[in-house]
Amino acid sequence: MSVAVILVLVAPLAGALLAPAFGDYPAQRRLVVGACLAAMLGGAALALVRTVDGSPVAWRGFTFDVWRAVLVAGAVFSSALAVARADEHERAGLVQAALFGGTAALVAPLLLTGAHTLAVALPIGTLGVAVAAFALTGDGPGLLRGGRSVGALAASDVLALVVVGMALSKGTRLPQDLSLVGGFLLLAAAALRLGLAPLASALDDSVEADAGLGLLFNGGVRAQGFLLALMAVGSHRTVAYAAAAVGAFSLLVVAARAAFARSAEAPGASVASTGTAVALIGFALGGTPATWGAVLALAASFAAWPLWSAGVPFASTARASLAALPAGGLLTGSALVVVAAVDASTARPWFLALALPAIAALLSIAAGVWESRDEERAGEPIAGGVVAAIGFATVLALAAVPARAASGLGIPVANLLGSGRLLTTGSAPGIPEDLAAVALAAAVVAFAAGPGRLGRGGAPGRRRIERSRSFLDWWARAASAPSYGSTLARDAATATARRWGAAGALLFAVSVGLALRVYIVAAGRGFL
Amino acid sequence: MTARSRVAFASGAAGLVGATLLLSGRFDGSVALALLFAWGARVAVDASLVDAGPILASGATQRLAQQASFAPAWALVIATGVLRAGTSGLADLRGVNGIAGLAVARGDALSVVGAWCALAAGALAIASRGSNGIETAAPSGSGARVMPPVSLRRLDAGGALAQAGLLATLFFGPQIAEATDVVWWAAGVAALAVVAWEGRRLTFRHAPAVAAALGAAGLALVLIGGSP
Repeated sequence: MSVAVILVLVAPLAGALLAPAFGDYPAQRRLVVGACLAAMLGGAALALVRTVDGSPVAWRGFTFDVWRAVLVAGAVFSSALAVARADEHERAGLVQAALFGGTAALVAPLLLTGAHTLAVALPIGTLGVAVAAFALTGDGPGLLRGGRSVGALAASDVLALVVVGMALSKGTRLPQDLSLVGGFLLLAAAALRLGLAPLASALDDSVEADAGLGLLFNGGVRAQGFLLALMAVGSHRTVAYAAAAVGAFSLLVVAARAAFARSAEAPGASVASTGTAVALIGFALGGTPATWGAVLALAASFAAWPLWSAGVPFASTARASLAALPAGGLLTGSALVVVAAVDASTARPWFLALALPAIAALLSIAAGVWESRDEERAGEPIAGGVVAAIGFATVLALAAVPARAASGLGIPVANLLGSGRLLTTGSAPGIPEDLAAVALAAAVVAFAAGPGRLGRGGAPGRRRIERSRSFLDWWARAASAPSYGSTLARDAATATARRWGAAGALLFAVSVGLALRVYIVAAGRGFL
Repeated sequence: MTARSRVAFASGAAGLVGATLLLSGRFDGSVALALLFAWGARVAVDASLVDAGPILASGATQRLAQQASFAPAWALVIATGVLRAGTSGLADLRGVNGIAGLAVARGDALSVVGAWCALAAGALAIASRGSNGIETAAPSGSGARVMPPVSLRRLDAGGALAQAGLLATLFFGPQIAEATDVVWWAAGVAALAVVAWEGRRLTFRHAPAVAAALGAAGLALVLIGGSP
């Protein structure tokens, strides 16, 4: 079964070639781009379905298993929306080509099972992101932020490749048998890609630079982060504790921002960050319920932001539905992870350090998500519609039948990943299907027969304070950049961006050197 | 009425139904899930008003922030109850209250004090909520009050009762085997409802911090005192 792999890898490459070719013909370009996106999304969906069924999905050196299929689906989903948003860009064809290319470069490492090929593919993915960042951001502050995020990504590459090089003596098959130091380094590399505090600057910078670049980070880069994070978490119990601590701390930071800082972050983005942190805690805990919950939270975190953006052209209902945290995969997943942590606390109270931030953060985010700023439109027609339709279907499935979602998605991944490092017992199911059905029925009735007219139409355009500071800002947020207001500031930002570009290029060169060394050593030892 | 208001109200209604079904024992579930459902119901009231025009929206926005600031307190309250009982399942919690005795009366002295601290923190969190209505100036110069729709006020009351039921399950509500067991539930929930009702008239600026401090003290005492 290789069609899925070919579609996922070739469709974005085809899009990268065809989008600029039709650059001067918007209607035709939309058609071509829509077809490429549909093929890409279809390939990811097909891979997910086939791997959940247990069928092998592979083509040459590229292999899907159910865990990688989840990651690829999330990456492709976000990238599709990034491409859709670029439809209204003044250089739409080139920007869409850059995004397609970046998607292919980011997805490829997710399908590789050898350390030597992963070592080569990681820098190529970073290069793809760099090209997309350059195409999307133009000059000035956007370029500065984009350069900083790519520089951080290159630093993450260097860390990951050092770890791969350290573990190469034990073979090239992933996941490798890592040392304790290697596990911690790989966790740091993963945290940079996941955008979790205290290494959240790369993701934050990319979101601030351009929403399309943010979506690329939200999808492909985040998926790579999870791939690396699970290798790190599986290596040593101490690393698993550290990963869980990173997740709990990140939740605390997000909660503080939601409750006190009133940050300007879009709800879709903060839901994605929350889902990421919950998922990392769940994977670090391990055990059946926590892993199920982690997979569901991960799926919700991939879907959250694309849906938030893609819902704009339809109606505010779509966006508000997404913001309704008490339903859907994030609720189910979070509940499973939190319950696993709370249950563990009854035997070993130190697990409260994970459970308490998780509960507090989820509650405060559930309150804060309703009061939010709006985002600009997600781009016109075909592509946004495709993404939104798939996303709404996914979220509806997660929300309507959470226990079935766990059995259809969570259990296969949990079986593949095996028992975790911190917890290995328990088999609590998700939210019962009948309870979910009753709650959803109540929601439908309440929506139809809710309270009558409230006030006089509200105050659209009310925004949160843009950049209010809080004591946890430093941990969770990128450094400031000059405003777009003046020419001098823009020039200064461009000059700084050049310095960041030079630093990023240096790190990229180091990572390419490390990758070549890994490949040559692997070849010399007969691992290939 | 905006779509966001409708979705918020629908979420709250779904949360209230879910919390009621869990707390009434129709479905077995975790105390954390019941908390998320009940919280959703309580928050939905203000979320429905965020788009309701400048008069009601300003108060709603403040109350949303106020609710969020009580999140740490609720996390500590839940942790205290779960740690004291040694389980997070709602049915098991009621069983522990029935067999080992109520958390607020039985067990090590420190654990009992801790349970009272957590109960006080939870009661404070339920009661501390800005008024739904907004005072305005009428044309004649006399005061007027803009009130949200009655369905939202009912949802708010339902959410508060669900939170009271959650506290009862954690600290003083045993498995109902005979008529006297009902008394604990009825009296406790009624007392919490009265506290919540009367609390509307009081404004206590540092309530979230005090509730969190009480919850933390309760958790520390239960950690020291141990399970029954």
